[in-house]
Amino acid sequence: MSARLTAIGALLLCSACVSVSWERKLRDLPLRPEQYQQLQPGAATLEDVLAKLGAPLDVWELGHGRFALAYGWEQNRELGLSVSVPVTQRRSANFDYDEINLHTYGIVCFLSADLRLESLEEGRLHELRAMQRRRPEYEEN
Amino acid sequence: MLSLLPSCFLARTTTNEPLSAERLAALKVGQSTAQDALTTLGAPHDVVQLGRRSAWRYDFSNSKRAGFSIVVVTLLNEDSRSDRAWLFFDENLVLIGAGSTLQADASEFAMPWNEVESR
Repeated sequence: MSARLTAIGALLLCSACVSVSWERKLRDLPLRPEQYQQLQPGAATLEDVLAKLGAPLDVWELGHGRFALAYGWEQNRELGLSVSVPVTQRRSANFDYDEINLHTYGIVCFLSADLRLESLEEGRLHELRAMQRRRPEYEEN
Repeated sequence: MLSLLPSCFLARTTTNEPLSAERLAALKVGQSTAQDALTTLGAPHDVVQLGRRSAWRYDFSNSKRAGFSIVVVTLLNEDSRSDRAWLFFDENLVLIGAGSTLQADASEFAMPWNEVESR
C-alpha cells in the first residue's frame, strides 16, 4: 500500500517536470496515386493538372516561364518525452527527445512555359523545393 | 471521472473566410480577368509572380485539436484541412487556369488512434 502511495506521489511530483506525449498531426488529405498517375508529361496541361489534383499547396517560379505546383500533406505520429530541470530560481534546463517527422510529403508538378506538364516528382516537399526554388526573375520586353 | 474532465480539451482554429464553390465556379478560364476575381472573391491572400504570368492564392483553414492530459501523459490530435484556390493569369491578366480544393469542413475532433474521415 505504501509503495503504491509512494509511486502515485512520485508521479504527481514528476508531472511538473516530465511529460510523455503521443501526438498525431494531420494536414490535408493525401492525393490518391490514380489521381496523378494519369497525368502524362508532355501531354497534360496546366488545366489538366488543376482539374485532376485541385489547388496546390504552393506555387513557385523556375525561370524562363517554367513553374512548379506542389501538392502536400502531413500525417505525423509523434511519441515524445520532455524533461525540464530547474537549475536556478528563475531558469530551467530543458531536454527534449522526440521521434518527430516534420516533413510534408507530396508531389511536385513541373510545368513548361507553354503550360504543359514537363515532369512530376514525388517526395518530401522541402527537399524538392530546395532543389528547384529560385528568385523571381525580371524579364525584359 | 469528474476529476479527469479538467484535463480534456477541444479547440478549433480557423484562418480567413470559407471559400464559396459557387463564386469560384463563376470564374471562367479564357474569359474572366483579374478584376473579375477581385470583384467575386476579394483580395487574394498571396500573389506569386511567374515571369509575366501570376498566380493568386485564396485559402481558408480549419484546424481541430483534441487533447487529454493526465499526470505525465498527454494525448493530442490535430486535424487541419483547408479550402484552397489558385488562379493563374497570363500577362494580360486573363484567367488561364483555376484549381480549387474544398475540404476544410471535413476536419474532425479525434484522438491519435482514431481513424478520421478521408474524403
